[in-house]
Amino acid sequence: MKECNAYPPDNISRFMDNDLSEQEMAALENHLATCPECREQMHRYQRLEDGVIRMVHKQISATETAALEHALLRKIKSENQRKRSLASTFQHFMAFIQGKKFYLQMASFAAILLLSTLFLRDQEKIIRAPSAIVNSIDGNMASVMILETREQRHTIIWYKET
Amino acid sequence: MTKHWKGLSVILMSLTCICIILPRTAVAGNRITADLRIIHAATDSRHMDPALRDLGHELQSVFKYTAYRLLNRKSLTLAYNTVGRINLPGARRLEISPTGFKNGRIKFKINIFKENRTVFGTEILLKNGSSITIGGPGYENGYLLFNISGTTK
Repeated sequence: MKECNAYPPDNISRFMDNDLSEQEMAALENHLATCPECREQMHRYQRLEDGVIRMVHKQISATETAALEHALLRKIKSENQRKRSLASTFQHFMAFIQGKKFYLQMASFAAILLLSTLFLRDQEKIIRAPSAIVNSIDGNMASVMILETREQRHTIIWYKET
Repeated sequence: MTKHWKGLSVILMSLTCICIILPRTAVAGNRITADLRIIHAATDSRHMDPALRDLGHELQSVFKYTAYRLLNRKSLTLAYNTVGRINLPGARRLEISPTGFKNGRIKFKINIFKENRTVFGTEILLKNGSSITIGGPGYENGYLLFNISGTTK
């Protein structure tokens, strides 16, 4: 097939991409209608472009999409399993609590009762004890007495100066 | 009804935990309020100072004195191991120092001086919110009593 030198191949490529001015587009379109060489050139570009697009689509659908989809599904499955496991553990725990509710309440009451008894026992000791406990007395005194009132157990220290 | 039980259980459990965790000593504050009352006891008349109403009955139950008069009163807010002072009649001075807190009692060191000479010293464990009376020095046809109360929050 003989070569047509009316338009450079680059112009035909740009024509296919609508990258020419309106006038250039119209002129090249008229030329393509009458020039089989240039039309063939345009068809070659068209086939090349279609081939590239097909290959890209094929690559994406054959490899990356499948791998991505597989990874995504695996992730969703693992997440669902984890959630199911957590929910199951929580349900078991709640069931245990529900089952032992009575015993827990009784244990709480027992603990409160025990602590209250201990606390009140200490308080009782303090209430019934003298107002002050005398650990030591020293100084330059002739004599010293420690007294305690009967009712309130108020502590009194009485000393005689020398 | 179940909700009420649940709520009650939670409250009781919380209280239990607080009671267990909170040490008894931690209840005491880091400052002690010591209230000192200087009292003159005599037999010259029948009188009870209105400021001594809370103490009068207790004193009358052990002493033969008929007149109790408040001579002076001082309230001291003290940190642990610090010393508070009050001047007493007859060239005397009382020094008081809180040194600790244990089992609801405040540990006090009390010293009474006469002309800068220690005449009396004691270490006591005073029930929180209660008081002790120290007496004996003669003064103006009667005797001096020092009522010391201690409180911590």
